[in-house]
Amino acid sequence: MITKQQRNAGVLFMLLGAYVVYYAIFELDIGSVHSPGSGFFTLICGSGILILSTVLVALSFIKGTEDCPLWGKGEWKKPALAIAVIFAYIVLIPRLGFILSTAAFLIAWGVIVEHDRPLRIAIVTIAGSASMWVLFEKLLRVPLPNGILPW
Amino acid sequence: MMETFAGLVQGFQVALSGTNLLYGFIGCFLGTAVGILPGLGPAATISLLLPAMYAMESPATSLIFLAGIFYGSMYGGSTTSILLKLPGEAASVVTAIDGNEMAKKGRGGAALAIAAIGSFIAGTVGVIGLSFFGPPIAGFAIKFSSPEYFSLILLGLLLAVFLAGSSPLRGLIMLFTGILLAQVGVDPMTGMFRFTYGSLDLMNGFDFVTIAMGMFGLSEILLTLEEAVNSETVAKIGKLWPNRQEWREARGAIARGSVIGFFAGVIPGGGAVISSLVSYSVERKLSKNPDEFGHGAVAGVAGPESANNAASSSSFIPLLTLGIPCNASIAMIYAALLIQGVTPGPLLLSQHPDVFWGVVASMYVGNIILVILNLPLVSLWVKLLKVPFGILGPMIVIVTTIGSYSLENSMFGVNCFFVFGIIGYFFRKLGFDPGPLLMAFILSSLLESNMRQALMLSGGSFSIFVTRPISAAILFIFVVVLIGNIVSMIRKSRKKAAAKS
Repeated sequence: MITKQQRNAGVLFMLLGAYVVYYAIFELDIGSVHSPGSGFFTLICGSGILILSTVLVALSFIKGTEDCPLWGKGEWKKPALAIAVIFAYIVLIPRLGFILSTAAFLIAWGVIVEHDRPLRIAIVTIAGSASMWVLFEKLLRVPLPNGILPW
Repeated sequence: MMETFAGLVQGFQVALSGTNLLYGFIGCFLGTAVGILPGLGPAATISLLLPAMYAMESPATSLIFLAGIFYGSMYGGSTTSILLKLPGEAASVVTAIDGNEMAKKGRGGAALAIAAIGSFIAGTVGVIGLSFFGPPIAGFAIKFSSPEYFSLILLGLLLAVFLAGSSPLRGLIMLFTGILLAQVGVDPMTGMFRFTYGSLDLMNGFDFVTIAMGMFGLSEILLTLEEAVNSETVAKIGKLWPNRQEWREARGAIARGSVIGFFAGVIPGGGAVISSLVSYSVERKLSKNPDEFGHGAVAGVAGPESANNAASSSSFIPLLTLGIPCNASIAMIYAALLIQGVTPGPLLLSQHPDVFWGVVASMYVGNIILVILNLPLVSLWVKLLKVPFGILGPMIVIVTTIGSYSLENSMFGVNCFFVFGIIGYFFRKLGFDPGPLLMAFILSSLLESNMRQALMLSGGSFSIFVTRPISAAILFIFVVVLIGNIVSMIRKSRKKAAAKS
């Protein structure tokens, strides 16, 4: 049975497929079967997404749908908080540099996502950011973003 | 035959060199660890380690390392399945049924031993098959040109969708989405930009590594955050050696599982998960006491564990001989080889015999390492389960974030990793498996270039795909599989409708 959520995803895929078909026809050169252009394969791909998602949506109307929520009660909270913390980390990396942003990220993860004990957060933050810095900077020699600190 | 033995000798020289032996050991160790840890499968781990491939000097070393992770995870997956009833990876799901029942009866040690020994025997059978079947298949595949390759890639992708996923329709949508993502950037044949919107970053297209790390790595972490892993329910290991009766019950199941796994692994989309399911149902059908299944049947552990290990070895055959990855983990190993400047396919054996035979020989060595790692050290692995995800999760996020940054020393890779991670999370929540997307993304350029070349060769006639015998045979298999699947889907829906009415 197709779920309501899958049907909604199908509608989004239909829109995507329609846009890709439009893009292939009007923005790219389709060429011909003898000499396929840059849009030829794109057109096939867009048509594939459009047709298949239309079938998915049509089947959901023919066979009916069941409501199957993506999350149980409160299940979405931790992933949502984690996404927010990771987003903040990505924004901060080029501004604060690797060490400061990683320390801030580990504190935020411990406090906001895991609700951990302060002592463990402190240990994980210090040991985690230092060991990651040694791993990337010294062992793997990966150039890390500096930000406001010289290292 | 003599060539195979000569190749194996060369392979052992490569595999037993200090560096390769060390990386093989680290790979097996990491593989066992990720197999044990719920919420971190082999695909996710290989994706996390892909940036490290840029730093590795030899393609043989990187392949030995990643292969170790892949087949090592099959060994490790059984430990949590048996002791916790919590499969560390998908191929060990069925092992959890009877393995955990054995553990509850105080036979956890015997179940672990049977799983490890079965895995060793089956893994070795898989590698022997790879050693002897690989070279003739590669020799045959040299005759392939663009129409045959197009048909073969098409068959591989569609089999992956039809056999591995729960819904072929959703799998096909993901497949086309993967092809679409690969379209972003410069068209290699005409030099035209596609979906770049004037962005310099998009002109290079998306990096496979960021998509893989996001869709498998980050999404896996987000999914794991939803579940609470309770490590206090670990069953007791008990005596580690099986008794005579258990051996007797395991022998046949190991042999059958090895054969089933070997053939299932070669089929694109088959692989470890399917092979373990098939083996379980075969053992149940053949058993004199089918009611025992679900209540601690030895064959219910021995068969599936042997099958998934044989499959993990034999799934290297299509990769190394045809250049077709048959599941998401193997697709990532394919990408790792491309990073190293080696294109997997029929020419691999002649152009890079050290890589081909090196990885084959490393699997023989790896199987021995894994038995040692998994049997005497099992209590050590159980302790690993006590590492809280609150520590493991953020560390993985840091490694993947910096891994995506290191690809081009820019935040574009990090942004892509983050976006694809969230998209992958929703895909998986909605039952859209990202595996076909990833395989299509990797194979898309080959699919497109071979199709366009074939059409140019034929003067625009699609008949070229059916008039050439090999291509026609491949497409025939494709049609048979397609019709078979459609018929089975119709039957299933009729049965459901009948049951409802």
